[in-house]
Amino acid sequence: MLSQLRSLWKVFQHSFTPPDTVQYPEQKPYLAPRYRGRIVLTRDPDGEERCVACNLCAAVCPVDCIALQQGLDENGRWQAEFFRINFSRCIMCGLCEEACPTYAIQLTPDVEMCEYDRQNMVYEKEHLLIAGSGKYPDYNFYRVAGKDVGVKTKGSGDNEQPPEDYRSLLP
Amino acid sequence: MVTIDVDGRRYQVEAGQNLLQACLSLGLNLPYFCWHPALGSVGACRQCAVTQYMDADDNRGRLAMACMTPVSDGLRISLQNDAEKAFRSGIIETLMSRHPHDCPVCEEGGDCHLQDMTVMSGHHRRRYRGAKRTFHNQQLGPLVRHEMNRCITCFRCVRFYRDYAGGHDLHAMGSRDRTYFGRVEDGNLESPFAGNLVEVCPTGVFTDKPHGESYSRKWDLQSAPAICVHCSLGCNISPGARYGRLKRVQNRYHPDINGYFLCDRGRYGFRFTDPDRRLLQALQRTEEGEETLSTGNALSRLWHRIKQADQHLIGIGSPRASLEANFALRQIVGAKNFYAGVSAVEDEMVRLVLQLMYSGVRSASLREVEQADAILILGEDLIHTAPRMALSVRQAVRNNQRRQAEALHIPLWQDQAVRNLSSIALSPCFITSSYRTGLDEVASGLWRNSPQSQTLVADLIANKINEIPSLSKTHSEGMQTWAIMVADALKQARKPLIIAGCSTQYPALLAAAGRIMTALKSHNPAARSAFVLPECNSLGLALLTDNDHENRLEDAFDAAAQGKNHLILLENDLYQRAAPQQVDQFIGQLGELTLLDYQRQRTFSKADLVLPVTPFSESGGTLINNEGRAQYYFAAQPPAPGTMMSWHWLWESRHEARPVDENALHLLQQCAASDPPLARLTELLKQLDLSTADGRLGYMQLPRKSQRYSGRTAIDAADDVREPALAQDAQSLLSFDMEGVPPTQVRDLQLSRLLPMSWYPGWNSGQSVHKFMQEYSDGRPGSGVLMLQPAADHESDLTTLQPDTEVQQTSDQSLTLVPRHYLFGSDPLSMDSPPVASLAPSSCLMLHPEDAQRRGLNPHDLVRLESSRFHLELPIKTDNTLAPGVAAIPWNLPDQPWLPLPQQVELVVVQRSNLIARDGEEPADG
Repeated sequence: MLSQLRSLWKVFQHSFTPPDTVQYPEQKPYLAPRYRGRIVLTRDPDGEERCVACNLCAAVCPVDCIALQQGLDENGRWQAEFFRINFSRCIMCGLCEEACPTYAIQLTPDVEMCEYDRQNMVYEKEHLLIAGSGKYPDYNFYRVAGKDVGVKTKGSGDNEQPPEDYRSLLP
Repeated sequence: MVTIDVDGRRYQVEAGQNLLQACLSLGLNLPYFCWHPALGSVGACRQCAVTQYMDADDNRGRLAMACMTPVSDGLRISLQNDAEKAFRSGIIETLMSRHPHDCPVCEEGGDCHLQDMTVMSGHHRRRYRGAKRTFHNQQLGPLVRHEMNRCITCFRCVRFYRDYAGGHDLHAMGSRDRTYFGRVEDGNLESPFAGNLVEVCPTGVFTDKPHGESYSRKWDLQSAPAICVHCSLGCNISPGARYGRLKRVQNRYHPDINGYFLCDRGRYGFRFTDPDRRLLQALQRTEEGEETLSTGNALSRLWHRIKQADQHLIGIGSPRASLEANFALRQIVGAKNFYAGVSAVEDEMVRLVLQLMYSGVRSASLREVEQADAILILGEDLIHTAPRMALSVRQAVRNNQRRQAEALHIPLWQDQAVRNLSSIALSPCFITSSYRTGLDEVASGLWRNSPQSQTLVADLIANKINEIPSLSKTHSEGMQTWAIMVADALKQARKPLIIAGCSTQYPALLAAAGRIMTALKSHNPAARSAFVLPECNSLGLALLTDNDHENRLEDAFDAAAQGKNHLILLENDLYQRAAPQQVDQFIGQLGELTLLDYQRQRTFSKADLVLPVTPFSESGGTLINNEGRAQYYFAAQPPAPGTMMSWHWLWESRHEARPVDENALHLLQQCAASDPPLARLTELLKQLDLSTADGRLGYMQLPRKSQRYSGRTAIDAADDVREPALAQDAQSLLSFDMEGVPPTQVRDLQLSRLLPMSWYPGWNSGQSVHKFMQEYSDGRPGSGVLMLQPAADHESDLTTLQPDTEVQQTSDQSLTLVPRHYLFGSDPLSMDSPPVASLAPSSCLMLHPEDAQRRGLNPHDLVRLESSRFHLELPIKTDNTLAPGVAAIPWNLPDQPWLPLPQQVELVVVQRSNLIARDGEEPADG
C-alpha cells in the first residue's frame, strides 16, 4: 500500500519536472566544441593553409573516405592540390583529426549535413577550408619543422641552431 | 653451411657472410643503417649490436656489431636480451635527437628505413632538449632533392655514389657533427646512377624530386612487377601508380640482372606514360579532316580494313612492343607480310647477335658480368647504351682486389678493408671506342679510333687468340702491340668477358667481336660474352622475324612499291628507322596507314587510322632482354579509358564486334607452339599460370594495392559518389585489389619475385627485400626464362662472319661521322619525360679541336655535313675526347632525322659563329 502511494507520488512529482525533449530544429541543443561533426580544414595563424597533404588522415580513415593529392607551391611548401571527403561514407570517428600532425583537419560541432542528393555529400577543398585556425589558434607546423618553405629560414625555427658551416674544420 | 644459435634457437646459415646478413635472411629483425647488401659492412652506425657469447656456459656475453662479425660454426648470440636492446635504443635515440620534425612533409615518410628502425628499437619520445642542428640544402638538379637536416651520417650515400658507382661529385665534407653530404657547389649530380641515392639513403636526405612534385605515399601506390623498357637489359622495376598516372619507379630486386640498383633513365624516364602526354582517343583522318572514334567504331574500322586489304595487308612490328603485340600482328597479317620495324643495319646486327648466341656464345647476365676478371668492350659506351651493365663492369674491375682479399682471408663484405687494397691493380678492362666512354677511367687500355680501326684491332685480337699470324699491312705497330696486350690478358684470365653491341651501327665490328668470342670460347669454356641491343625487345622481334622470308624494313618498302599498300604499324616511328625521304616515299605509296601507338611521334601525323594503345604501365607482356631472358611484366594500372593493349586491338579486330575470351597467356601459348625458337615460352607460362599456382595461392591473387591503400571511397567520388566496380584482371596472378595473398605469405608461396612492391610488416622501406631473400632463386615465378639454347647445327654458320676488308681510306678532308649515344637523349620514349629531356644534349656536331682547327672551324659555327647519302646542317662543338678524324653526332634525338651512320662526311661552313670560341670545350658526360 505504502509503496503504491509512493509510486503515485513520484509520478505526480514528474509532472512538474521540465521536459528533456528539445524542439529541434527550432531549438538547437548545445554541442561542445570538441563534438565530432562536420570536418573542416583550418589555416595557420599566418592565414596559410595548414594542411601539408601528408596523407596521414587518409591512411587512418577506417572508411577510406578521404582522398587528396600533394602539390608544391613556389617555395616548396607542401599543399593539397585537391582534398576530398566523401561525407556519405564518413562515420565522424575523428581519427583523421587525431592523426593530423599540423592540426589542419578538425571536427566541428556542426552535424546538420542532410542532403537530398548524395552527390552533394562530396566535399572538395574549397568546401572544407575555413578562414580561421579552429581549436588550436597558435600552432604553425612550419615554425617547428626543419624544412625551409618560406615560413622561416633554416635555423630560425623553434629550438634550432643556426645552419652549420660544413667548410669549417674547427673542432 | 654453419649452425648458429640465436636466442636459444639453432639455425643453419651460409658460411662466409656476416652475422647481420645471416640474421636478416633468416627473417629475424635486427636494426641497422650503414650496412647494405651491395655495399658491404663498415660498422659505422653501431645500430646492429647483439650479445655474443663465448660458449654454451657463458651467460654474460659481450656486445658485438653483427655486421662486423663473421658467422662461424657454433656461434651463440642473443638479439632480445636487455643489454643489447638498451644499447640499440640508446643509439637510435642519439641519432634521432637532432632529426628534424618533418616526417609529414618528407617524401621518405612511409618508405623510410629510419622510421622502421626507430619503431623497431622502441624509441618513441625525445628526451634531448638541446637545439637541433641545421644545414643549408643544395640544388642537385632535376632528379634528386636534397634535405640535409635529416641526415644520420651513415655514409651510405658516398659509399654508393663514389665507391660503388664511381661518381666524383658527391662528397662527405666537414667534421664532427657538421658532416655534410653534398657537392662542392650546387649543380646537377653527374653520375647516371644518382637516382639510387633515393633508395640507398635510409632517411629523407635524398628524395625523388619529380615524384615530390606530385607525391603519393608508398602505401597509396598501386604497383606491379614490371620490366624497364628503356634499354635492352630488362632491369626489374616496380612502378607505382595513383590517380591514373605513374608516380614513381623503384628498383625491384633481381639477383641476375639489376640487383639493387637502376640507372636514372629507367628511374625517371617513365613520364611518357602520363595521360596528358599520350594518345587516348582513336582517330580517323580523311580528306575532310580528323574524326575521333569510339572504341567500338575504331574496332570495326580496323576489322573492315583488315578484311578489305586482303592480299595488300602488311604489318611492321616494333622492338619496343611486347612479344605478344608483335606476335598478334604477325598472326593478323601473316608471317610473309610481317616486317621487322628496325633499320636495316640494326636488323643485321641483332641477327648477328642471334646467330652468335645460337652458335654457343653464351650471353652473360649482369651477375656474370660482375664475376669477369678481364673485360674487352668493343665500341660500346656502356654508361649510355646499357647503363646498368656499366655499373656491373665497375664492380668487375675490382675482382683483382677481391681475389687478393680472399688470399689474405679478408671477407669480401669487409668493404673498407677490401678497398684498402687499392694498390692492387684493377682487373684488366680494355675499351675500343671513337670517343671517351664513361668507363675509360677504370680501363687499363684504350683504343680510341674510328669504327674501321676498331674492327681491325678486334680482328687482330681474334687472330692473336687463335694464334694466326696477321700479315696485313693495314695494321700499324701500335695496333699490333695493343692487340697482343689484350689477347694475352684475355687468355690469361679465368673468366674473360667480351662486351659488344649495336650502338656503333657498324656490323663489321660486331662480327669481329663475334670472332673474338668464338676464338676465346674454344680457348676457355668459362669465357663469356655480353651483347648490348638497341631496345627492350630487340631480341624478341628478331626471334619472331627469324625465318626465311624477306622481312626487313627495306623489304616492306619494296612490298609497298609492288602494291602491298595497307600497312598496320605497331608502336613504331618509322622516321626513327630510316631516312626521312625514304619514309616519305613509302608512306606516299601506302593506301592506308593504321598506327597503334601511345606516343605522338613523327609517323603519327601521317597515319589515317590511329588506335591508342597502352604503354608498359598499363599492359602485360613479355620482353626478351639482351641475354635472351624472356620476362613477363604486369600492368601497374588498368588501361586508360579508350585505350587497349596492342594485341587486344588486333585480336578483337579478328572477330567483328564479338568479344574474345582469349587472354595474353593464350597468345603466348600459341606463340610458343608456332615458333620453335620461342618454344621455351612454355616454361615462362608455367611460372605465370594461375591454374598451376592455384594450389599455392588458394584461389587468391596477389594484390597490386597495399593493405593500407587509402581513399577508396573518395577517389572517384568527384565524378560519381557511387563507387565503380574494381577493374578485373582475371587469369592473372595479380589483382587490382587490396585483398589477396598477404606479403607475409608470399615467401611460403615462393612468389617473392612477383611482389608488386617490397613490403613486410615492420619493414616499410625498400630494405624489406631481405625478408624475401631466400626465395630469390631461379625457376621461381618472376625470374624469367632463358630462351636461346645453343644449337649444334648453327656452329658452321660462323664462317659467314668474315672480316670486313672494305676499310675506307680517310682522306684529309673527310671525317668518319659516328653516332654518339646519350643516356638522356638517345631513347625516344624517355625523352617524353620532362626530367630526362631537361638533361639531354642539343643537336650538334662534335669534332676534335685539331680537326676543327685544320678546317678553320670554331665552336658554334654552323656547318653542312655532306655525304653521299644525306645533307644536314648543325652547329659545331669541339670535344678533345674524340678520336681525331672522327666526328660524332648525338644519336636518335627526337628532332633529328635518322642518319645512316657511320659515314664519311665532308664539312662545308654555312655560317660563322659570332660567339667567342672556347677551345677544348667538352660536353658534360652523363
